[in-house]
Amino acid sequence: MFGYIIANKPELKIKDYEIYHSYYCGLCHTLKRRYGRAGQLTLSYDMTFLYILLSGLYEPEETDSERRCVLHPAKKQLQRENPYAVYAADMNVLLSYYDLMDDWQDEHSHKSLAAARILGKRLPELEEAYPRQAAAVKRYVEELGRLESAVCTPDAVDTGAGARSEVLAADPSSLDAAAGLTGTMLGEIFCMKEDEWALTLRRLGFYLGKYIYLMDAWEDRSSDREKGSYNVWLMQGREVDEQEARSVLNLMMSECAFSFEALPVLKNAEIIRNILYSGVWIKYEQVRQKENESKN
Amino acid sequence: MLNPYQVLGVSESASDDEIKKAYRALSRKYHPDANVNNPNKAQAEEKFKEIQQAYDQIVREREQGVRGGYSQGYGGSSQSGYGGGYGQGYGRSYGSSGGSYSRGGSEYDRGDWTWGWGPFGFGGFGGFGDYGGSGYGSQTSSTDFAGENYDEETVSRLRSAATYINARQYQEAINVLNTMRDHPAHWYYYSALANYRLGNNATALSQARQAVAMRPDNMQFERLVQILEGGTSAYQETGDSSYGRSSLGLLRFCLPCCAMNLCCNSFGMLGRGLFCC
Repeated sequence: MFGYIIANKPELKIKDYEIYHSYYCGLCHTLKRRYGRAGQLTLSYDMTFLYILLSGLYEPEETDSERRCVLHPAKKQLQRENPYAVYAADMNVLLSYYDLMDDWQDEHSHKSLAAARILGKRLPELEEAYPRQAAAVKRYVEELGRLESAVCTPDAVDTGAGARSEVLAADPSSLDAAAGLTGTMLGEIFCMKEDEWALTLRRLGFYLGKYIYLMDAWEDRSSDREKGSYNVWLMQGREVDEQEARSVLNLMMSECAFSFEALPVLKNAEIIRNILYSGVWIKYEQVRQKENESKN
Repeated sequence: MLNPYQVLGVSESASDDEIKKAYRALSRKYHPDANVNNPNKAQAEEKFKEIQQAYDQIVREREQGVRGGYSQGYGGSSQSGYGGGYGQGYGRSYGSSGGSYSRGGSEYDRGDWTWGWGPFGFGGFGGFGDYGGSGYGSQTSSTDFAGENYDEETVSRLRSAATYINARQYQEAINVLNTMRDHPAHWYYYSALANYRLGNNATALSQARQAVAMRPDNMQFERLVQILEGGTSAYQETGDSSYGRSSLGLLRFCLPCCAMNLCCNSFGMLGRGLFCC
Protein backbone atom coordinates (compact mmCIF):
# COMPACT_ATOMS: atom_id res chain seq x y z
CA MET A 1 0.00 0.00 0.00
CA PHE A 2 2.91 2.32 0.40
CA GLY A 3 5.22 3.88 -2.15
CA TYR A 4 2.85 6.61 -3.34
CA ILE A 5 4.44 9.51 -1.55
CA ILE A 6 6.97 10.31 -4.27
CA ALA A 7 8.20 13.42 -6.04
CA ASN A 8 7.33 14.59 -9.51
CA LYS A 9 10.91 14.70 -10.66
CA PRO A 10 10.56 16.60 -13.93
CA GLU A 11 9.01 19.44 -11.97
CA LEU A 12 11.68 19.65 -9.32
CA LYS A 13 14.58 22.03 -9.71
CA ILE A 14 17.77 20.05 -10.14
CA LYS A 15 19.06 21.52 -6.91
CA ASP A 16 15.92 20.38 -5.07
CA TYR A 17 16.11 16.96 -6.61
CA GLU A 18 19.65 16.56 -5.37
CA ILE A 19 18.60 17.63 -1.89
CA TYR A 20 15.76 15.11 -2.02
CA HIS A 21 18.18 12.43 -3.09
CA SER A 22 20.58 13.32 -0.30
CA TYR A 23 17.86 12.81 2.33
CA TYR A 24 16.94 9.51 0.73
CA CYS A 25 20.56 8.37 0.83
CA GLY A 26 20.95 9.71 4.33
CA LEU A 27 17.97 7.67 5.49
CA CYS A 28 19.34 4.62 3.76
CA HIS A 29 22.65 5.03 5.50
CA THR A 30 20.96 5.51 8.87
CA LEU A 31 18.95 2.35 8.32
CA LYS A 32 22.11 0.46 7.50
CA ARG A 33 23.87 1.80 10.58
CA ARG A 34 21.05 0.97 12.96
CA TYR A 35 19.56 -2.15 11.42
CA GLY A 36 22.09 -3.56 9.04
CA ARG A 37 21.27 -4.89 5.64
CA ALA A 38 17.79 -6.09 6.59
CA GLY A 39 16.93 -2.60 7.71
CA GLN A 40 18.33 -1.04 4.57
CA LEU A 41 16.00 -3.17 2.50
CA THR A 42 13.01 -1.55 4.16
CA LEU A 43 13.91 1.90 2.85
CA SER A 44 10.78 3.61 1.60
CA TYR A 45 9.92 6.85 -0.10
CA ASP A 46 7.17 7.36 2.42
CA MET A 47 9.50 7.60 5.36
CA THR A 48 11.91 9.66 3.27
CA PHE A 49 9.05 12.12 2.97
CA LEU A 50 8.56 12.10 6.72
CA TYR A 51 12.28 12.65 7.18
CA ILE A 52 12.25 15.65 4.86
CA LEU A 53 9.11 17.03 6.48
CA LEU A 54 10.42 16.83 10.03
CA SER A 55 13.78 18.23 8.94
CA GLY A 56 11.99 21.17 7.37
CA LEU A 57 9.87 21.76 10.44
CA TYR A 58 12.54 21.49 13.11
CA GLU A 59 15.56 22.68 11.09
CA PRO A 60 18.15 20.56 12.89
CA GLU A 61 21.89 20.67 12.36
CA GLU A 62 22.66 18.51 9.38
CA THR A 63 25.69 16.60 8.25
CA ASP A 64 26.37 16.00 4.60
CA SER A 65 28.75 13.20 3.80
CA GLU A 66 29.86 11.72 0.57
CA ARG A 67 30.11 7.98 0.60
CA ARG A 68 30.24 5.14 -1.80
CA CYS A 69 27.33 2.81 -1.67
CA VAL A 70 26.66 -0.63 -3.06
CA LEU A 71 24.22 0.65 -5.63
CA HIS A 72 26.38 3.43 -6.93
CA PRO A 73 29.91 2.07 -6.76
CA ALA A 74 31.30 4.46 -9.32
CA LYS A 75 30.31 7.77 -7.81
CA LYS A 76 30.10 8.76 -4.17
CA GLN A 77 26.64 9.76 -3.06
CA LEU A 78 25.75 12.74 -0.95
CA GLN A 79 24.03 11.59 2.21
CA ARG A 80 22.29 14.07 4.44
CA GLU A 81 21.78 13.03 8.02
CA ASN A 82 20.30 14.60 11.11
CA PRO A 83 18.56 13.29 14.24
CA TYR A 84 15.24 12.96 12.44
CA ALA A 85 16.72 10.29 10.20
CA VAL A 86 16.80 8.10 13.27
CA TYR A 87 13.09 8.57 13.88
CA ALA A 88 12.27 8.02 10.21
CA ALA A 89 14.43 4.89 10.16
CA ASP A 90 12.80 3.53 13.29
CA MET A 91 9.33 4.15 11.88
CA ASN A 92 10.40 2.61 8.60
CA VAL A 93 11.37 -0.59 10.37
CA LEU A 94 8.27 -0.59 12.55
CA LEU A 95 5.99 -0.34 9.53
CA SER A 96 8.03 -2.77 7.47
CA TYR A 97 8.05 -5.44 10.11
CA TYR A 98 4.29 -5.72 9.99
CA ASP A 99 4.25 -5.38 6.23
CA LEU A 100 6.69 -8.26 5.89
CA MET A 101 4.71 -10.45 8.26
CA ASP A 102 1.70 -9.68 6.12
CA ASP A 103 3.58 -10.79 2.99
CA TRP A 104 4.54 -14.00 4.69
CA GLN A 105 0.95 -14.72 5.67
CA ASP A 106 -0.48 -13.83 2.29
CA GLU A 107 2.12 -15.06 -0.11
CA HIS A 108 4.40 -17.28 1.97
CA SER A 109 7.38 -15.35 0.79
CA HIS A 110 10.36 -16.84 2.58
CA LYS A 111 12.37 -13.76 1.82
CA SER A 112 9.81 -11.73 3.73
CA LEU A 113 9.76 -14.08 6.66
CA ALA A 114 13.54 -14.05 6.91
CA ALA A 115 13.66 -10.27 6.86
CA ALA A 116 10.78 -10.08 9.33
CA ARG A 117 12.58 -12.39 11.72
CA ILE A 118 15.69 -10.25 11.69
CA LEU A 119 13.79 -7.03 12.20
CA GLY A 120 11.45 -8.64 14.67
CA LYS A 121 14.28 -8.91 17.13
CA ARG A 122 14.32 -5.14 17.32
CA LEU A 123 10.59 -4.82 17.80
CA PRO A 124 10.66 -4.84 21.60
CA GLU A 125 13.05 -1.90 21.69
CA LEU A 126 10.91 -0.02 19.19
CA GLU A 127 7.81 -0.72 21.24
CA GLU A 128 9.56 0.62 24.28
CA ALA A 129 10.92 3.73 22.62
CA TYR A 130 7.70 4.55 20.80
CA PRO A 131 4.80 2.95 22.66
CA ARG A 132 2.17 5.21 21.06
CA GLN A 133 3.31 4.64 17.49
CA ALA A 134 3.90 0.92 17.97
CA ALA A 135 0.44 0.47 19.46
CA ALA A 136 -1.12 2.39 16.58
CA VAL A 137 0.60 0.24 13.97
CA LYS A 138 -0.33 -2.95 15.78
CA ARG A 139 -3.99 -1.96 16.12
CA TYR A 140 -4.09 -0.97 12.48
CA VAL A 141 -2.59 -4.21 11.25
CA GLU A 142 -4.98 -6.26 13.34
CA GLU A 143 -8.03 -4.39 12.15
CA LEU A 144 -6.87 -4.56 8.55
CA GLY A 145 -6.43 -8.29 8.97
CA ARG A 146 -9.98 -8.67 10.15
CA LEU A 147 -11.27 -6.66 7.22
CA GLU A 148 -9.33 -8.74 4.77
CA SER A 149 -10.49 -12.04 6.18
CA ALA A 150 -14.11 -11.13 5.72
CA VAL A 151 -15.73 -12.18 2.50
CA CYS A 152 -17.76 -9.47 0.95
CA THR A 153 -20.02 -8.88 -1.94
CA PRO A 154 -21.85 -5.60 -2.40
CA ASP A 155 -25.02 -7.24 -1.12
CA ALA A 156 -23.80 -9.20 1.81
CA VAL A 157 -20.97 -9.46 4.23
CA ASP A 158 -19.99 -12.78 5.68
CA THR A 159 -19.50 -11.73 9.22
CA GLY A 160 -17.47 -14.76 10.24
CA ALA A 161 -14.18 -13.15 11.16
CA GLY A 162 -15.46 -9.87 9.87
CA ALA A 163 -17.85 -9.53 12.76
CA ARG A 164 -15.00 -8.53 14.96
CA SER A 165 -13.98 -5.80 12.57
CA GLU A 166 -14.87 -2.37 13.88
CA VAL A 167 -15.30 -1.01 10.42
CA LEU A 168 -17.61 -3.75 9.22
CA ALA A 169 -19.61 -3.56 12.40
CA ALA A 170 -20.07 0.19 12.06
CA ASP A 171 -20.56 0.88 8.37
CA PRO A 172 -18.75 -1.16 5.75
CA SER A 173 -19.63 1.29 3.03
CA SER A 174 -18.18 4.32 4.76
CA LEU A 175 -15.16 5.61 2.85
CA ASP A 176 -14.09 7.58 5.91
CA ALA A 177 -14.34 4.66 8.32
CA ALA A 178 -12.30 2.30 6.16
CA ALA A 179 -9.72 4.88 5.16
CA GLY A 180 -9.60 6.22 8.70
CA LEU A 181 -7.69 3.13 9.79
CA THR A 182 -4.66 3.95 7.71
CA GLY A 183 -5.19 7.61 8.47
CA THR A 184 -5.15 7.19 12.22
CA MET A 185 -2.08 5.01 12.04
CA LEU A 186 -0.12 7.31 9.80
CA GLY A 187 -1.19 10.29 11.88
CA GLU A 188 0.50 8.73 14.90
CA ILE A 189 3.64 8.01 12.91
CA PHE A 190 3.82 11.57 11.61
CA CYS A 191 3.42 12.98 15.09
CA MET A 192 6.85 12.39 16.47
CA LYS A 193 6.40 14.16 19.79
CA GLU A 194 3.58 15.82 21.69
CA ASP A 195 4.64 19.37 21.02
CA GLU A 196 2.97 22.44 19.52
CA TRP A 197 2.86 20.69 16.13
CA ALA A 198 1.41 17.39 17.28
CA LEU A 199 -2.13 18.14 16.14
CA THR A 200 -1.15 19.52 12.76
CA LEU A 201 1.26 16.68 12.02
CA ARG A 202 -1.39 14.16 13.00
CA ARG A 203 -3.85 15.84 10.72
CA LEU A 204 -1.31 15.83 7.88
CA GLY A 205 -0.61 12.13 8.37
CA PHE A 206 -4.27 11.31 8.84
CA TYR A 207 -5.46 12.72 5.53
CA LEU A 208 -2.41 11.43 3.70
CA GLY A 209 -3.15 7.99 5.10
CA LYS A 210 -6.76 8.20 3.97
CA TYR A 211 -5.62 9.22 0.52
CA ILE A 212 -3.23 6.28 0.28
CA TYR A 213 -5.83 3.81 1.46
CA LEU A 214 -8.51 5.01 -0.93
CA MET A 215 -6.16 5.16 -3.89
CA ASP A 216 -4.86 1.70 -3.17
CA ALA A 217 -8.42 0.38 -2.86
CA TRP A 218 -9.37 2.12 -6.11
CA GLU A 219 -6.51 0.42 -7.87
CA ASP A 220 -7.49 -2.99 -6.49
CA ARG A 221 -11.20 -2.87 -7.12
CA SER A 222 -11.29 -5.23 -10.10
CA SER A 223 -9.21 -7.90 -8.47
CA ASP A 224 -11.07 -7.53 -5.18
CA ARG A 225 -14.36 -7.88 -7.00
CA GLU A 226 -13.19 -11.16 -8.50
CA LYS A 227 -11.86 -12.48 -5.22
CA GLY A 228 -14.79 -11.27 -3.17
CA SER A 229 -12.43 -9.32 -0.98
CA TYR A 230 -13.52 -6.32 0.98
CA ASN A 231 -13.13 -3.13 -0.99
CA VAL A 232 -14.82 0.01 0.22
CA TRP A 233 -15.36 1.34 -3.32
CA LEU A 234 -17.34 -1.80 -4.15
CA MET A 235 -19.58 -1.26 -1.15
CA GLN A 236 -21.17 1.93 -2.42
CA GLY A 237 -24.22 0.25 -3.85
CA ARG A 238 -23.48 1.63 -7.31
CA GLU A 239 -20.69 1.86 -9.82
CA VAL A 240 -18.39 4.69 -8.79
CA ASP A 241 -16.90 6.50 -11.75
CA GLU A 242 -13.36 7.80 -11.97
CA GLN A 243 -14.41 11.40 -11.62
CA GLU A 244 -16.13 10.77 -8.33
CA ALA A 245 -13.18 8.79 -7.02
CA ARG A 246 -10.83 11.56 -8.00
CA SER A 247 -13.07 14.06 -6.20
CA VAL A 248 -12.83 12.12 -2.98
CA LEU A 249 -9.09 11.70 -3.33
CA ASN A 250 -8.73 15.44 -3.92
CA LEU A 251 -10.77 16.05 -0.80
CA MET A 252 -8.27 14.05 1.25
CA MET A 253 -5.17 15.60 -0.25
CA SER A 254 -6.49 19.12 0.10
CA GLU A 255 -6.87 18.64 3.84
CA CYS A 256 -3.40 17.18 3.94
CA ALA A 257 -2.00 20.14 2.03
CA PHE A 258 -3.75 22.63 4.29
CA SER A 259 -2.16 20.91 7.25
CA PHE A 260 1.24 21.30 5.67
CA GLU A 261 0.63 24.94 4.93
CA ALA A 262 -0.28 25.46 8.57
CA LEU A 263 3.22 24.38 9.57
CA PRO A 264 5.91 27.08 9.59
CA VAL A 265 8.06 25.14 7.16
CA LEU A 266 10.37 27.13 4.91
CA LYS A 267 13.26 24.72 4.45
CA ASN A 268 12.54 21.88 2.02
CA ALA A 269 9.11 23.44 1.41
CA GLU A 270 9.22 23.25 -2.36
CA ILE A 271 10.19 19.60 -2.35
CA ILE A 272 7.37 18.83 0.04
CA ARG A 273 4.87 20.80 -2.04
CA ASN A 274 5.98 19.02 -5.20
CA ILE A 275 5.17 15.75 -3.48
CA LEU A 276 1.88 16.76 -1.86
CA TYR A 277 0.44 18.75 -4.75
CA SER A 278 1.67 16.62 -7.60
CA GLY A 279 3.89 13.65 -6.80
CA VAL A 280 1.24 11.69 -4.91
CA TRP A 281 -0.87 11.67 -8.08
CA ILE A 282 1.73 9.95 -10.23
CA LYS A 283 0.63 6.46 -9.27
CA TYR A 284 -3.02 7.41 -9.67
CA GLU A 285 -2.37 8.72 -13.18
CA GLN A 286 -0.57 5.52 -14.01
CA VAL A 287 -3.56 3.45 -12.90
CA ARG A 288 -5.92 5.68 -14.83
CA GLN A 289 -3.86 5.39 -18.02
CA LYS A 290 -3.72 1.64 -17.69
CA GLU A 291 -7.49 1.42 -17.21
CA ASN A 292 -8.19 3.70 -20.14
CA GLU A 293 -5.97 1.60 -22.31
CA SER A 294 -7.62 -1.66 -21.37
CA LYS A 295 -10.96 -0.09 -22.14
CA ASN A 296 -9.87 0.81 -25.69
CA MET B 1 -6.92 40.52 22.40
CA LEU B 2 -3.92 41.74 20.51
CA ASN B 3 -3.70 41.97 16.77
CA PRO B 4 -1.87 38.77 15.82
CA TYR B 5 0.09 40.53 13.10
CA GLN B 6 1.42 42.95 15.68
CA VAL B 7 2.41 40.09 17.97
CA LEU B 8 4.52 38.63 15.18
CA GLY B 9 5.76 42.03 14.15
CA VAL B 10 4.62 41.79 10.56
CA SER B 11 2.26 43.76 8.39
CA GLU B 12 -1.15 42.42 7.47
CA SER B 13 -0.07 42.17 3.87
CA ALA B 14 2.90 39.99 4.72
CA SER B 15 3.25 36.88 2.60
CA ASP B 16 2.80 33.46 4.17
CA ASP B 17 6.53 32.85 4.05
CA GLU B 18 7.18 36.14 5.81
CA ILE B 19 4.72 35.14 8.54
CA LYS B 20 6.48 31.80 8.95
CA LYS B 21 9.89 33.42 9.05
CA ALA B 22 8.74 35.89 11.71
CA TYR B 23 7.22 33.08 13.75
CA ARG B 24 10.38 31.01 13.56
CA ALA B 25 12.57 33.90 14.66
CA LEU B 26 10.36 34.63 17.67
CA SER B 27 10.00 30.96 18.49
CA ARG B 28 13.76 30.51 18.59
CA LYS B 29 13.87 33.26 21.17
CA TYR B 30 10.90 32.37 23.38
CA HIS B 31 10.40 28.64 22.99
CA PRO B 32 10.53 26.82 26.37
CA ASP B 33 13.34 24.60 25.07
CA ALA B 34 15.44 27.68 24.40
CA ASN B 35 14.80 29.14 27.84
CA VAL B 36 15.53 26.28 30.17
CA ASN B 37 18.18 28.22 32.03
CA ASN B 38 16.52 31.57 31.75
CA PRO B 39 15.52 33.07 35.12
CA ASN B 40 12.60 34.70 33.31
CA LYS B 41 11.46 31.49 31.73
CA ALA B 42 7.88 31.86 32.92
CA GLN B 43 7.59 35.14 31.05
CA ALA B 44 9.26 33.60 28.03
CA GLU B 45 6.70 30.82 28.10
CA GLU B 46 3.83 33.29 28.29
CA LYS B 47 5.26 35.19 25.38
CA PHE B 48 5.70 31.96 23.44
CA LYS B 49 2.06 31.04 23.97
CA GLU B 50 1.07 34.45 22.67
CA ILE B 51 3.26 34.01 19.61
CA GLN B 52 1.89 30.52 18.97
CA GLN B 53 -1.69 31.71 19.25
CA ALA B 54 -1.05 34.65 16.94
CA TYR B 55 0.54 32.40 14.33
CA ASP B 56 -2.23 29.84 14.53
CA GLN B 57 -4.87 32.51 14.24
CA ILE B 58 -3.35 34.06 11.14
CA VAL B 59 -2.90 30.68 9.50
CA ARG B 60 -6.44 29.69 10.25
CA GLU B 61 -7.92 32.94 8.98
CA ARG B 62 -5.94 32.70 5.78
CA GLU B 63 -7.00 29.11 5.29
CA GLN B 64 -10.62 30.11 5.84
CA GLY B 65 -10.13 32.83 3.28
CA VAL B 66 -8.84 30.41 0.69
CA ARG B 67 -11.48 27.79 1.40
CA GLY B 68 -14.33 30.22 1.60
CA GLY B 69 -13.49 31.59 -1.79
CA TYR B 70 -12.55 35.01 -0.46
CA SER B 71 -9.11 34.61 -1.87
CA GLN B 72 -8.50 36.42 -5.08
CA GLY B 73 -6.76 33.42 -6.47
CA TYR B 74 -3.77 31.33 -5.84
CA GLY B 75 -1.81 29.98 -8.76
CA GLY B 76 -3.16 32.66 -11.00
CA SER B 77 -1.24 35.63 -9.73
CA SER B 78 2.41 36.56 -9.70
CA GLN B 79 3.81 33.23 -10.67
CA SER B 80 7.47 33.76 -10.16
CA GLY B 81 8.53 30.20 -10.73
CA TYR B 82 8.50 27.85 -7.82
CA GLY B 83 9.78 30.10 -5.14
CA GLY B 84 7.08 32.64 -4.67
CA GLY B 85 4.31 30.59 -6.13
CA TYR B 86 2.60 29.13 -3.18
CA GLY B 87 3.44 31.82 -0.71
CA GLN B 88 1.85 34.45 -2.90
CA GLY B 89 -1.23 32.45 -3.44
CA TYR B 90 -2.06 31.90 0.13
CA GLY B 91 -1.17 35.37 1.16
CA ARG B 92 -3.93 36.73 -1.04
CA SER B 93 -6.51 35.98 1.55
CA TYR B 94 -5.29 38.45 4.10
CA GLY B 95 -7.75 40.92 5.46
CA SER B 96 -10.60 39.37 3.58
CA SER B 97 -11.96 37.25 6.35
CA GLY B 98 -13.50 40.16 8.13
CA GLY B 99 -10.59 40.88 10.43
CA SER B 100 -12.43 39.60 13.45
CA TYR B 101 -9.51 38.83 15.69
CA SER B 102 -11.39 38.68 18.92
CA ARG B 103 -12.90 35.25 18.37
CA GLY B 104 -9.58 33.67 17.62
CA GLY B 105 -8.73 32.72 21.13
CA SER B 106 -11.36 30.04 21.63
CA GLU B 107 -9.46 27.11 20.19
CA TYR B 108 -6.55 27.65 22.48
CA ASP B 109 -8.26 28.52 25.73
CA ARG B 110 -8.27 24.89 26.62
CA GLY B 111 -4.61 24.42 25.88
CA ASP B 112 -5.53 20.88 25.10
CA TRP B 113 -3.86 19.47 22.05
CA THR B 114 -4.61 15.84 22.57
CA TRP B 115 -6.04 13.54 20.01
CA GLY B 116 -9.16 12.70 21.90
CA TRP B 117 -10.25 16.24 22.22
CA GLY B 118 -11.12 16.49 18.60
CA PRO B 119 -8.03 16.17 16.53
CA PHE B 120 -9.37 18.36 13.86
CA GLY B 121 -10.18 21.15 16.20
CA PHE B 122 -7.61 22.93 14.22
CA GLY B 123 -9.51 21.87 11.19
CA GLY B 124 -9.10 25.25 9.69
CA PHE B 125 -12.49 26.47 10.76
CA GLY B 126 -12.18 27.69 14.29
CA GLY B 127 -15.91 27.84 14.54
CA PHE B 128 -18.08 28.52 11.57
CA GLY B 129 -19.19 31.69 13.17
CA ASP B 130 -16.11 33.59 12.19
CA TYR B 131 -17.37 34.69 8.84
CA GLY B 132 -17.61 38.40 8.47
CA GLY B 133 -19.81 38.57 11.54
CA SER B 134 -22.95 38.17 9.52
CA GLY B 135 -24.90 36.75 12.37
CA TYR B 136 -23.69 33.20 12.38
CA GLY B 137 -22.49 33.75 15.90
CA SER B 138 -21.36 30.42 17.28
CA GLN B 139 -21.00 27.37 15.10
CA THR B 140 -24.58 26.43 15.45
CA SER B 141 -26.16 29.81 15.82
CA SER B 142 -29.85 29.75 15.19
CA THR B 143 -31.20 26.80 17.05
CA ASP B 144 -34.70 28.15 16.72
CA PHE B 145 -34.90 26.66 13.22
CA ALA B 146 -36.96 29.55 11.94
CA GLY B 147 -39.19 28.55 9.11
CA GLU B 148 -38.99 24.84 9.74
CA ASN B 149 -41.89 22.71 10.87
CA TYR B 150 -39.92 20.47 13.16
CA ASP B 151 -41.76 18.68 15.93
CA GLU B 152 -40.72 19.04 19.56
CA GLU B 153 -38.76 15.82 19.68
CA THR B 154 -36.77 16.77 16.61
CA VAL B 155 -36.08 20.27 17.88
CA SER B 156 -34.97 18.95 21.22
CA ARG B 157 -32.53 16.45 19.73
CA LEU B 158 -31.18 18.89 17.18
CA ARG B 159 -30.57 21.39 19.97
CA SER B 160 -28.80 18.72 21.97
CA ALA B 161 -26.58 17.90 19.03
CA ALA B 162 -25.86 21.59 18.53
CA THR B 163 -24.88 21.94 22.17
CA TYR B 164 -22.48 19.02 21.88
CA ILE B 165 -20.96 20.51 18.76
CA ASN B 166 -20.40 23.83 20.46
CA ALA B 167 -18.79 21.98 23.33
CA ARG B 168 -16.57 20.18 20.83
CA GLN B 169 -17.98 16.80 21.77
CA TYR B 170 -18.49 15.64 18.24
CA GLN B 171 -18.98 11.93 18.80
CA GLU B 172 -21.69 12.68 21.33
CA ALA B 173 -23.37 14.92 18.77
CA ILE B 174 -23.29 12.09 16.24
CA ASN B 175 -24.70 9.70 18.81
CA VAL B 176 -27.67 11.98 19.45
CA LEU B 177 -28.25 12.51 15.75
CA ASN B 178 -28.22 8.76 15.21
CA THR B 179 -31.12 8.36 17.64
CA MET B 180 -33.31 10.44 15.37
CA ARG B 181 -35.69 8.77 13.01
CA ASP B 182 -36.31 11.81 10.88
CA HIS B 183 -33.47 13.37 8.98
CA PRO B 184 -34.49 16.90 8.06
CA ALA B 185 -32.10 19.42 6.56
CA HIS B 186 -30.64 20.49 9.89
CA TRP B 187 -29.92 16.88 10.76
CA TYR B 188 -27.68 16.74 7.72
CA TYR B 189 -26.11 20.08 8.55
CA TYR B 190 -25.18 19.15 12.11
CA SER B 191 -24.03 15.70 11.05
CA ALA B 192 -21.83 17.32 8.46
CA LEU B 193 -20.29 19.65 11.04
CA ALA B 194 -19.66 16.90 13.57
CA ASN B 195 -18.36 14.47 10.99
CA TYR B 196 -15.98 17.01 9.59
CA ARG B 197 -14.55 17.61 13.05
CA LEU B 198 -14.12 13.90 13.56
CA GLY B 199 -12.14 13.69 10.32
CA ASN B 200 -14.94 12.10 8.30
CA ASN B 201 -14.69 14.69 5.58
CA ALA B 202 -16.10 12.66 2.69
CA THR B 203 -19.20 11.90 4.72
CA ALA B 204 -19.37 15.52 5.86
CA LEU B 205 -19.35 16.85 2.33
CA SER B 206 -22.05 14.52 1.11
CA GLN B 207 -24.19 15.40 4.13
CA ALA B 208 -23.64 19.12 3.64
CA ARG B 209 -24.71 18.75 0.03
CA GLN B 210 -27.81 16.94 1.14
CA ALA B 211 -28.69 19.80 3.50
CA VAL B 212 -28.34 22.27 0.63
CA ALA B 213 -30.41 20.07 -1.65
CA MET B 214 -33.19 20.10 0.91
CA ARG B 215 -32.94 23.82 1.65
CA PRO B 216 -31.24 25.62 -1.22
CA ASP B 217 -32.00 29.03 0.28
CA ASN B 218 -30.19 28.40 3.52
CA MET B 219 -26.99 30.44 3.38
CA GLN B 220 -25.46 28.66 6.33
CA PHE B 221 -25.75 25.33 4.56
CA GLU B 222 -24.42 26.74 1.33
CA ARG B 223 -21.50 28.24 3.21
CA LEU B 224 -20.55 24.89 4.68
CA VAL B 225 -20.52 23.20 1.28
CA GLN B 226 -18.43 26.06 -0.07
CA ILE B 227 -15.87 25.64 2.69
CA LEU B 228 -15.64 21.89 2.35
CA GLU B 229 -15.35 22.07 -1.42
CA GLY B 230 -13.38 25.29 -1.61
CA GLY B 231 -10.32 23.67 -0.21
CA THR B 232 -10.29 21.19 -3.03
CA SER B 233 -10.39 23.80 -5.79
CA ALA B 234 -7.48 25.67 -4.24
CA TYR B 235 -5.54 22.45 -3.88
CA GLN B 236 -6.08 21.34 -7.46
CA GLU B 237 -5.31 24.76 -8.89
CA THR B 238 -2.04 24.99 -7.04
CA GLY B 239 -1.05 21.52 -8.18
CA ASP B 240 -1.85 22.34 -11.77
CA SER B 241 -0.33 25.78 -11.94
CA SER B 242 2.78 25.39 -9.80
CA TYR B 243 3.66 21.72 -9.52
CA GLY B 244 2.96 20.24 -12.87
CA ARG B 245 0.07 18.12 -11.82
CA SER B 246 -1.94 18.77 -14.94
CA SER B 247 0.85 17.51 -17.17
CA LEU B 248 1.13 14.18 -15.36
CA GLY B 249 -1.32 12.78 -17.85
CA LEU B 250 1.10 13.45 -20.64
CA LEU B 251 3.94 11.49 -19.13
CA ARG B 252 4.22 7.83 -19.81
CA PHE B 253 5.02 5.92 -16.68
CA CYS B 254 6.05 2.36 -16.39
CA LEU B 255 6.48 2.43 -12.67
CA PRO B 256 6.58 5.23 -10.12
CA CYS B 257 10.29 5.02 -9.65
CA CYS B 258 10.96 5.83 -13.27
CA ALA B 259 9.57 9.27 -12.68
CA MET B 260 12.11 9.46 -9.90
CA ASN B 261 15.16 7.78 -11.38
CA LEU B 262 16.01 6.62 -7.93
CA CYS B 263 16.42 3.07 -8.99
CA CYS B 264 17.87 0.98 -6.29
CA ASN B 265 17.24 -2.31 -7.90
CA SER B 266 20.23 -4.27 -6.75
CA PHE B 267 18.89 -4.64 -3.26
CA GLY B 268 15.81 -6.30 -4.63
CA MET B 269 13.80 -4.30 -2.23
CA LEU B 270 11.25 -6.98 -1.48
CA GLY B 271 8.81 -5.10 -3.63
CA ARG B 272 8.53 -2.37 -1.11
CA GLY B 273 7.99 0.50 -3.49
CA LEU B 274 11.48 0.46 -4.86
CA PHE B 275 11.47 -1.29 -8.14
CA CYS B 276 12.43 -0.32 -11.62
CA CYS B 277 11.49 -1.23 -15.10
